[in-house]
Amino acid sequence: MRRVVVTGLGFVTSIGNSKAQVLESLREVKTGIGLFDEFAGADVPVKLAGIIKDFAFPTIDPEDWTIPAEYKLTRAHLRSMGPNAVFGYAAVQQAAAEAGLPPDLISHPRTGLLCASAGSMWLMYEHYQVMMTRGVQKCQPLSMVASIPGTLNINLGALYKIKGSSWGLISACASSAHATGSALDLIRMGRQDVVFCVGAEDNSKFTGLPFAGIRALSTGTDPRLTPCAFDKKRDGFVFTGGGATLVLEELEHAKQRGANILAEIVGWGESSDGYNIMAPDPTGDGLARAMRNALDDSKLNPADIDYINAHATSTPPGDIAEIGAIKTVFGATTEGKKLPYVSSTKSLTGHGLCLAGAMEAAFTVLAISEKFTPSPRTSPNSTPPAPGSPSSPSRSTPPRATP
Amino acid sequence: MPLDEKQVADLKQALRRCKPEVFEGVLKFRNENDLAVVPMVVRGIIERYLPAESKVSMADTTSETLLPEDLGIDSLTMLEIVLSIEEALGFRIEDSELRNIRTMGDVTTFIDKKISGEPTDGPAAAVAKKFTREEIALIVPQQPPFLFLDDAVIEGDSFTATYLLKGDELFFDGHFKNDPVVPAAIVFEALGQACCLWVLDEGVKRLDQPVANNQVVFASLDGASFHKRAKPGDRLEFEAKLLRLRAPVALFEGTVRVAGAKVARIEKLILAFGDIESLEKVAAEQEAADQAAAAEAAVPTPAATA
Repeated sequence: MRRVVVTGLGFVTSIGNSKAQVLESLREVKTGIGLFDEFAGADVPVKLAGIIKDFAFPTIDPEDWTIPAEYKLTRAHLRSMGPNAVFGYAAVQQAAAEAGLPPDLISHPRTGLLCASAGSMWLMYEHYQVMMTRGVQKCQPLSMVASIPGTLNINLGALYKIKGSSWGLISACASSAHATGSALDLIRMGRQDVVFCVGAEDNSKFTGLPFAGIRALSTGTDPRLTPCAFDKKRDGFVFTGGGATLVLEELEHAKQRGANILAEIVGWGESSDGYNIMAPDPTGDGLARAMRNALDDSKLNPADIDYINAHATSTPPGDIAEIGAIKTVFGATTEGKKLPYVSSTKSLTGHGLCLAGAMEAAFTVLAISEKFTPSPRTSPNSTPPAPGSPSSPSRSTPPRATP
Repeated sequence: MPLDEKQVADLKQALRRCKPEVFEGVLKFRNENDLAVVPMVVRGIIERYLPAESKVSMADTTSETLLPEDLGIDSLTMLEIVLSIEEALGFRIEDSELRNIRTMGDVTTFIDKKISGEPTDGPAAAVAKKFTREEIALIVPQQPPFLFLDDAVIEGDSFTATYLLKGDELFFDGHFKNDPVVPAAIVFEALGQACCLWVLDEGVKRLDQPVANNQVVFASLDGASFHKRAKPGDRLEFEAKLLRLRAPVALFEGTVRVAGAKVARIEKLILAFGDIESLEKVAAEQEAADQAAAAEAAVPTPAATA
């Protein structure tokens, strides 16, 4: 079977807008969480978000936007883009540069683009306001293109002149994890040689704040303590926007052009628990089957796994189910068994929704290639972990770098 | 009517990326009806939308300067400019008015006509709209093998269409035995299909309610006459004209020819459109009323029997 490696990463995240910044934040356990100005006001119960620096979107007029100069986006480009597409564009630019992909390999029938985003809820809201109050003929011509969930594929596909696969995945917070798994499949099947996996979300209250409606967001106000995955005091997730990109590439293809190989993706797994629209099956049954599927696909044993970057968003039911699943698969209660180290980088970045899977896969690739283990945050008022929580590692070894 | 404070503030915001004199000009036009400033305002708005990479500046433009080729203004930017001009000058620009604007000179002419009230999409601008069989099939509900139009041209109230009788149409098998002749009903149907196309493409633009393509039905035929048989290999030529459009009906007249020779003629063809169930209800009520009137008329009066 064709083997697949990662040759490039790109980041616009609350913990850094470059690989170097992200690496420093992960190593030094620096949080990207802060008080979010869009959550100001007494009627907003949530105050924290993962804060994206160096970019600003004060109005819907792209000429008011702040975008770092290295991303050469003109007004003509930006009029069809939302913040999510800008983040996605920036992350792809970084990843393509790191992978050393020349323009004719980026724009190539064997190079694809799989994207995940909820769309720009903010622009959608603003443009629908115009449509409903002033009529559709007053809408900006490209308002629809800039807003819809497919906006990443439309914009990045055109800007990078993508000629291979170009599609989007929508499975809520699993979206860009699905994109990464699907990219692996596309390359294994021989349908593509290189695939950009992109997750991106607006850093806007329109994307994040509605989760306060179902009480899923933490109401904590101290970024040193919140969110706190697996912690007794966890009370919900903290939202973040941003963008992340992985370049997946067929091993021989990467070797032939002398690309720097960061890690190999040896398999993936998925499953559903068929339980409830929001809550996970508390036993973690579906999660456990997904983990087993990933192990089977990669022909690895539980004991081969050194590190798990958990989804753990810091919601009370979510983390419990995940602990249950990890215990089931990795046998945390069995004496003498080698246990993987588990942490949730969401405690530093916040939860990126459709962005989460690609962002955290990229963090994990970084951990493998740079030979370190992302740690949970140590806060000045550290609370004891939830009983049986794997976040207190029984041992900690640097993960194996593959291949 | 002079602008109120909020309108002035909105305009200032909308025009903040134009040169200051553009905003001043807009105020003069809107408050004092000063027509002389309009060309400057329009040029100022176009200038604001010039792409950074445009090699020509507004000062260098002549009436021959091409908007897309010379100034890099693509159709999307043109739409943005139109939205901005509408906002600034407070008039509505229809898509049809934009079709012929290619140069800076066209822009000036257009604005001159617009402020003097001359029609800007008159006969010269109203281009005849052509349809292929595939395009027609996307608009009308009739589909092959029951679509009897190969092409059509709509030009305002008038329209033409043709249909080549291929010979493999189902009705030729039995109409008639060993003597294929197109049924008269099919000829009228085909003309009705052309009228249906007109309602769904041109008619809907003149109505203030949408009409779905399954909401157009035959209501009546009057003065229908048949003059000549048409056979496989003949090309039916339809020529029709709208006489009146008033919801929920459209009245047409039309002629069908083969190689110039008249095949059929309809003086009044009425299509009804809208919610078909309620149209049928109205028709049924009308029918009942007519019958009642007829019954009354049929009752012999004593005088008549005498």
